Amino acid sequence: MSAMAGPAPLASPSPDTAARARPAMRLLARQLLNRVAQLVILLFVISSVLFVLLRLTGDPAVTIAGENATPDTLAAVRQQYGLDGSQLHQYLTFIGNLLHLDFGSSLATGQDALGMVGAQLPATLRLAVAAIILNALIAIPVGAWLGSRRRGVARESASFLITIAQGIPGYVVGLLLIQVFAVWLHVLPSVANGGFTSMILPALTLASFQVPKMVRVTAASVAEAGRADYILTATANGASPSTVVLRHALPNALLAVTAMLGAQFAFLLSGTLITEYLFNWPGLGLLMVNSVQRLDFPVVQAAVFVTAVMVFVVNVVMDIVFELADPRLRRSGA
Amino acid sequence: MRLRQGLSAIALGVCATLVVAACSSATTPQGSSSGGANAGKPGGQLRVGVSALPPGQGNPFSAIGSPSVYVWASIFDALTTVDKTGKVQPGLATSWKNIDPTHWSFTLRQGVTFSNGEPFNADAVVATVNYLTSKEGKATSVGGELSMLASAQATDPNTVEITTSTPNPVMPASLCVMYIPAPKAWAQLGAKGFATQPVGTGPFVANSFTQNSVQLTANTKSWRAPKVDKLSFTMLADQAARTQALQSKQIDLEIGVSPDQMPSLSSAGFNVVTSSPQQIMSLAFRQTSGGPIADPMVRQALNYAVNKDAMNTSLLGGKGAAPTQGTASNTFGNNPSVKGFPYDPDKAKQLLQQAGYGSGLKLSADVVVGSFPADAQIYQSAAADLAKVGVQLTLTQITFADFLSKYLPNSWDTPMFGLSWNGQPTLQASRPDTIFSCLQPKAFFCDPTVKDLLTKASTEFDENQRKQTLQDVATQMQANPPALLLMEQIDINAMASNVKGFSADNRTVHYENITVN
Repeated sequence: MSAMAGPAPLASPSPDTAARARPAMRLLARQLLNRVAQLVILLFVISSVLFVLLRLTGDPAVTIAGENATPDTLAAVRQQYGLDGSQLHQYLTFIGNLLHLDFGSSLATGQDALGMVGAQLPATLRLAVAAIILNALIAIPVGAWLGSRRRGVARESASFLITIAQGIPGYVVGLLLIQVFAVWLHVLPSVANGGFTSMILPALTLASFQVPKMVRVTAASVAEAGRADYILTATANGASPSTVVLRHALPNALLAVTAMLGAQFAFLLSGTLITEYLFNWPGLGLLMVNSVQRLDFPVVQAAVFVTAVMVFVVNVVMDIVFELADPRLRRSGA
Repeated sequence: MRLRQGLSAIALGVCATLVVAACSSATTPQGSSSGGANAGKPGGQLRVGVSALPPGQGNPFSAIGSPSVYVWASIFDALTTVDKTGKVQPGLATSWKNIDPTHWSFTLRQGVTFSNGEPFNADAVVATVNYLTSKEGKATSVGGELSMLASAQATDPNTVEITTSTPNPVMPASLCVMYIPAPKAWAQLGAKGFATQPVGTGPFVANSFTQNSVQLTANTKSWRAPKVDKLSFTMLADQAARTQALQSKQIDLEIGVSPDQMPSLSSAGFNVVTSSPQQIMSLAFRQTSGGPIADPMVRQALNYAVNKDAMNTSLLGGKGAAPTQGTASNTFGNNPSVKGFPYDPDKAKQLLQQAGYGSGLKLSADVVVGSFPADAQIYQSAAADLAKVGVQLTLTQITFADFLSKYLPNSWDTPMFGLSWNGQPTLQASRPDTIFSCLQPKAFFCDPTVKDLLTKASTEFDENQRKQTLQDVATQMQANPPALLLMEQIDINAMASNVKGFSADNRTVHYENITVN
């Protein structure tokens, strides 16, 4: 090479790599568009079904006007809140506003419905994340231990306890936790006060909805992984039992657990309704319960809409995480 | 070995986190009122646990009665209040007189200011009445309740003349539901803004008003300045959780205690206070729809068949009372000579026999539960008593929203439904009596004699005459009962032993008198 020549040009991507990348990008774009289309259709169907269901639960005008309302008062309320048109007219107005993400104002407070949902959402997400972390911290080690044990008194006893625990409703768990830690021991608050400590009992309660199931899934996955050929190979190579479980069986077992976490997110959110109600946790669940009781339709619609988006996004993210975590899926181009 | 060590480390980490977190802040919420720092000096904080907060938050026109009144009584005042004996007491008005059937003059309390510094005067009252008579105001609960309001005029800064569209002899009592908001703040913020930033003349100022809690500080310039520095309301809808919060000292005052918790709270040193909200639980008869219920003998039989004293003893610890009529003893128009229906299952069977139902009768009722202590058990106990006389009563629980949807148009599927005789907040018998009469829009029960008496009472300004007329209504309702009367209900509240000075008139708590040592 001449001394006057510039630096050697960077190696160009090989024609093979570039050729593989283009279809992959197109595939990804198509998948993304499919997902977005699915989400739009899902939200439209959910919102429409909910519109009908809510109006079957009662007349919000009577809730606003009160039990001693005269027909004149009721008529005034309906006109004031746009409840006097036909159901079809109300539905079309609702769909038209939905395209602008306008759910209207709360029938109770007059505040923007979506704004109210947005204000309460972070508290629910904090609680949900805390519950997932607690879930993982408790369920994975216990499940790994359970799955790696041979049949015996300890394992059977633990399995029995897990089965019992799965049958205890989350509401009961919450009340028990309050009784023990707040009333008897006075070490944790049971009423949300903005402090970190007030999140512990609600998070434990919410986690209790799923811990037993997660333990059983982890245990089954670890046990199944333990029967794989690579486990035999690792054992034959002299790996200790703990190394076999922690380095080989558990990472493979966690794939199933991760998939379950995403699938259970919707159930987790339903658990927040009970948990937030019990602990006065200022989240979306409590807002939804109050709004349903008051027939505050705009807030219920906004809350369900946001919840549906969250569940959808979480499932998409978990699919991506699953694909990234499992090299076999990447190699197969799934 | 390593696995066991790893698991142990994780368990230790979780426990350590919990312990550190628990130690890092007090177990009681901000401003504990039971701490040693506040002992023995005025001030401190009163923390109240309630089952619900006002649905309209700080908008004082969005609802009437409980649960809203528990919060609003700390922020707002009305021209008048009604005490537990049914007497109308001065509030922001110190006196009043009836000029003619549709005109009332109110003399206002002087030297009162709103918490934002606006003066309270006749213009503030006029602004409130103007709002309630506007299109928007008429669509509120208070606007509907006070639909008789026509206009108001300030005759001088401390006197206001209120005009009604129809004669209303109980106007002063009726105005106890009309809280007066600061007029300029209301004009500026409107109903939407007031939801989170209410301004009144009451003993406290709301710093924060959310869906879940209300945080207030003392309004030291109020005409009824409080003794505590801070007040908070926390919504704990679950009754068990609310009691646990009291037991764990996270709240100082619990509004709405379950009757079965009374003994354990008392023995643990909490003060349990019961009072009569002047409400009678009942199963209303849809007599206008015909059927067996249309026969007065059947309705009397049902009343004789239920052992109300036994229910009171076993379910309310004897704190309630077997009702003699649709109004409680302190309600204006209650007739002390009406003795009600004593428990007499033999007489019940005899009346059913005479009415042609000696071989049995099937009835059904839709009921809402959770409004009163032990209400579900009371309904079930009544059904059990009715079964002993051959009446099979099927109870179906419905939501309050369902109830309203059926109640207002009288579109029930059942011949009976749960309905309370609610004298609140005016403690006037005319209010609940009207509901159980032909005067109710879409009436479910109609007795022409009662209708004539109530019409007469509605325009009778002579108090003694009006009382007599309403007592005649009670006598007529004994002969032709519009409901199966079940229980004179109670309110049960409990508080920590360091809370002193608690009192409430018709659920209006006098927060200004409460101290927390």
